[in-house]
Amino acid sequence: MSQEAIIGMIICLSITVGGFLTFLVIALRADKDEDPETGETA
Amino acid sequence: MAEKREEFSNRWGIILAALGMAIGAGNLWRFPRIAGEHGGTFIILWMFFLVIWSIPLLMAELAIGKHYRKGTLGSLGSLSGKKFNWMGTFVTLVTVGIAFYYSVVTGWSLRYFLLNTQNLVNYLFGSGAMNESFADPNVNFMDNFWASLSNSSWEAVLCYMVTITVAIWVLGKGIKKGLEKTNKILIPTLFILLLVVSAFAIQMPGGVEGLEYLFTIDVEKFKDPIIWIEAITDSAWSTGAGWGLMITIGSFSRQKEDVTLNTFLGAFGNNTAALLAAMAILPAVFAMAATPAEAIDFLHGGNTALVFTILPQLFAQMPGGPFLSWIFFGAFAMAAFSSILPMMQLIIKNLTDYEIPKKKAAIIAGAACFVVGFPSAWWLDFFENQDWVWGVGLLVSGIFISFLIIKYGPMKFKKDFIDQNSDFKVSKYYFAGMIYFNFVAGLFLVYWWMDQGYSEYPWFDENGKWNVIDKFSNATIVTQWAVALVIAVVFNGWFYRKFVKK
Repeated sequence: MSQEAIIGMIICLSITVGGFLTFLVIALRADKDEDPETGETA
Repeated sequence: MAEKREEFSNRWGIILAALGMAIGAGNLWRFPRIAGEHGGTFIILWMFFLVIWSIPLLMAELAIGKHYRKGTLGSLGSLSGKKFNWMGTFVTLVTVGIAFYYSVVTGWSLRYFLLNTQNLVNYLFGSGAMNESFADPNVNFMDNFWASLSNSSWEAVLCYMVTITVAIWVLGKGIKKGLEKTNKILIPTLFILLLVVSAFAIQMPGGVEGLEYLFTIDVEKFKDPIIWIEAITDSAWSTGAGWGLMITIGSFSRQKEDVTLNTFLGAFGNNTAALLAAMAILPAVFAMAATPAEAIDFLHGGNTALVFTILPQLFAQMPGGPFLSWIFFGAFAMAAFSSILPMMQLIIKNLTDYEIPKKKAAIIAGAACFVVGFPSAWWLDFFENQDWVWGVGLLVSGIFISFLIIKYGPMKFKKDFIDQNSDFKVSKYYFAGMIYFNFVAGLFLVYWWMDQGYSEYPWFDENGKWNVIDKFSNATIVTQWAVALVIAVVFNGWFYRKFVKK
């Protein structure tokens, strides 16, 4: 694979998959902080 | 007695439903084709338009559904008021139009999965002759199989009847026990299957060539307006923004759900699945094609040709290909099925708003898909016509939803609808700016697609007659939209009384 393609792959995957994983972590943290009774975050 | 109000159990129910809705056949047959052709430049722009076009619209739709807790007719009608209620009816009719022909895709996907199961069994326990006939270009097995399945085939009709019946059974069980439970199995499995096919395909000699085409960013290509238009259009079609499906999903959302975060997660998840599909398909195509030029030719073959004739033939030539092909078509069937569920749920939700019991509503929705989808199953030309007419119609739906938000006031809308219970917030200027942009960009896109000249006679045929028969003409688009608009306008008062005021 050429250097350009490798750089492109890192950029594209970072934005797409990286973005997905970041929001996934934020959602999991929000769920962890949530009070099961009220639904309010701590 | 009114049925008990249904809700998803938690945010994951909503996110899985949003992913199921968005990850469909388009992720597997359209995105890899376009991405392979334009490379990393396209992917960057496609991600850019995810944030510009799709996320603001999806966020707005989820918030509208959550706020009004009604289907598309009731929710959009409540937002618009009686004067513009017809816009919500048009949005609903467009998506129902898509559900009718899309149900046929689920039938095709089932048939191909069964064919590949038969091939795998023959490969593992029989002579393997079936796989040899798949692979032999002189036999033209896959071309003939697709030609017979897509035209006047009772087999196709039977297959989509089966998928619709299963969908009725799932949706008749309700949101938690039906849709949510099914998505919990379908979506993670779909991601795993795509990962397996990608891992196999990349390992193949020449497979890396596909990644080279997929990811190389050519800065010069940013100057090409076609790539920008392809990127925004693919984002609109792929994520389901403007379809009204997120309104339906939102109507089953708990009031404490975070609209913004759930939308971002669902939208990025959809694009991740599409990229995984491209990382599975392109290495396979490039590894098995004789030259890169031939691989590019395969990508130009069109959506159905790539998935239903070229890929099975290429898979058949690989070592262990029948196994890989079986996994791929399993993923394809799951993606198609997970998308028809929310489309049918949109119909069901509107019917239950009309106080038809849930199970009866599921049967009516299924029967409608079966009857009205029949011509698309019987004639490929009819299917392609419907795909074209309602595909472009979705852009009009996006314009209408943007207009209704502009009418309400985008910043006020964000405060009243989106920010309630949202811990994760975006700037009000971003949201408002993108809604205005979407309204203008939507108008341009409709003009651009209709100006592409896919038909030799876009408006009138060689005899000067209104060219409504031509499957890709502008005349057929305008005529069918006009029918939907006439229904929406003539019955505006009735729809408003029955779905909004009630």
